Amino acid sequence: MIWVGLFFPKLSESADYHHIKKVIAQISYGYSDQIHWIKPSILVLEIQKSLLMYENASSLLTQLCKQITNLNIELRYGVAPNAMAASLMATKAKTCWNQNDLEKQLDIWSIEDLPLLSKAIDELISCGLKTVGHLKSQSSDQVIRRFGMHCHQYIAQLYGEIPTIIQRWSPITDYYHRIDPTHPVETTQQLEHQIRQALMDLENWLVQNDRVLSTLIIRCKHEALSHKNQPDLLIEIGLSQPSSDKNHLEHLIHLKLENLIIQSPLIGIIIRCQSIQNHQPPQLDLLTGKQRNHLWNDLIDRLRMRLGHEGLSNVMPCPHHQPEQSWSWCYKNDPPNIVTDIRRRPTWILSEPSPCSPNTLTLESGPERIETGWWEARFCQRDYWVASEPNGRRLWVFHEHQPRTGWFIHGIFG
Amino acid sequence: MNTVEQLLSKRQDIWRGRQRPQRMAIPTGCNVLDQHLPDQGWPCGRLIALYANPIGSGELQLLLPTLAEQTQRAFPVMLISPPWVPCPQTLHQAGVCLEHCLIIHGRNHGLWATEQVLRSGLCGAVVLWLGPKNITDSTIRRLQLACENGPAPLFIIQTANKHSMLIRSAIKLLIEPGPKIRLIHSEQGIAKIAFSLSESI
Repeated sequence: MIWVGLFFPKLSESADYHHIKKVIAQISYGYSDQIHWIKPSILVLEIQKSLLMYENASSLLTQLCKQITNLNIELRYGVAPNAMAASLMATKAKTCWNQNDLEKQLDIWSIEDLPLLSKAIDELISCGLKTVGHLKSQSSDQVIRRFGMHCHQYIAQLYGEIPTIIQRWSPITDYYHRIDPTHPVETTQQLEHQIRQALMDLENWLVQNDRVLSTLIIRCKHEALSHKNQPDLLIEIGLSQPSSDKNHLEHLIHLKLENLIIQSPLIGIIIRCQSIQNHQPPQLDLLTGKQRNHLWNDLIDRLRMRLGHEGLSNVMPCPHHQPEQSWSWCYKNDPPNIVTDIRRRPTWILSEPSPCSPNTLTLESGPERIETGWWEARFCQRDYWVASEPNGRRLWVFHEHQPRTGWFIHGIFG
Repeated sequence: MNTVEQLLSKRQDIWRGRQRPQRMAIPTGCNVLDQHLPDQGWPCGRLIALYANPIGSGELQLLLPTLAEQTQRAFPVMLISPPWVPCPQTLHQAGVCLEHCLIIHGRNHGLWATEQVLRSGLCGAVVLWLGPKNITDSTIRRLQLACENGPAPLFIIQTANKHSMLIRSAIKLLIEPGPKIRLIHSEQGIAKIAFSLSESI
């Protein structure tokens, strides 16, 4: 086994300590499924199994370190055949690729450089022990009696004589991320900036878990002092094709925020994923080799972000006798209802019938009697006519007898 | 055909005197109109202005065969800012596949949506209803450029008035109740024709 220890010397000083730890762990999880925070600022991971995907161990380590240092996080790494030794090697950036190297390195390792309590180190030095090798040369009974079981176990773990018990870190199954900006967010540009930074973390999480999302919920909390009863600002990003692409999400968020006005400063932003599912690679068209569906879904997403969910729809027939009820907007890509009505209908339907005067119209054909709704206590009796206006435009009008009386325009043959 | 000739013939944007390159076109579904249009149909990737006097005189009826053909080939069509609800029963009877016919509501983002749709190059036809507000030359130019990205013709429908008639487009048609169609401009500069749609299909 090859264990890598990552030591973050300035991690404990960071204001966002817990979040950074989570980000580091998520990045490392992309390289190994055995990772563990062995100390508050030291992470160890086993890389033997991952080497198949890389040319060699150093290319893996270079890539891992680059990914972490890109986030402005300082680190040192060490390599050893066991987890405890790797954590120690990381503090001085030493690499031991096999047991012999490790033993040589430990034999000359200064006792003062061990991560033990200062009292324990003083005790060891006062006994004339200057290196780990000196301590190792003592008999086990003697070490236990003089320096305690903990010291003995620690040395045995360093040399790999007894296994190091580690508690594996595992990624969260539901994505939840809270941002607490240092200053209240007052403009959409500031909000977009905050969200953009969090999206990188989200993309990492999705990729490492081989997941895609179809809905992203962003809940923003207003400053309590200014608007006590103001509800949270809720931004919902729906994707017609599940995705983990950060750039696509960024573009959609940009479109969504363009028309947003922040009424009062925001002090908390919560990002949550909904409808997470396993990633399935997109299929290419057989003849063109392009991802037509993928591009189409991108277009629909862009339009929906700007126009709102109800800004884009299909129109579908409904099996209803009353013309107002015989159509509906359809906002999902559902298959259409089967059209069974073969009566002549106008090209355009008015969403609400509009009152008109029959004096200005010439009735051409009709009537078509429609009586409906008696079973729902919404009885409606109408006579529909095809009529023409003085300019020649043909209309679909009706004379209603019940529940109202009068003439109404309901459609246009145009 | 020699090599230079072959290269030139591939370009649509080089003026070559009277030798007008043949463009891809979609049949209008109206034989009389097809005969008089330069490419025997609606030119692909071009802007076509339809002036209705008044709106609802028959412009959608004129476009139904085109919408039907494109949607049956699974090319989506977009109806942007229509003035009323297109009757699904009538569309279906005309052969329009309703699941490939999308409607964008409202006028506020109509032009933006039109440009997005055209730039994607994924649609079979785009129909935009413009309100009474006049459209600027620069907006028309943007739409023209976006239109060239894909095969979809863009139909701009507006009420006929002296300002709207100035829109630069490949084809201009005036539609009056009946519907009566008048071809008032085409790229070939042919004689103006007028006919009744119901008699010519």
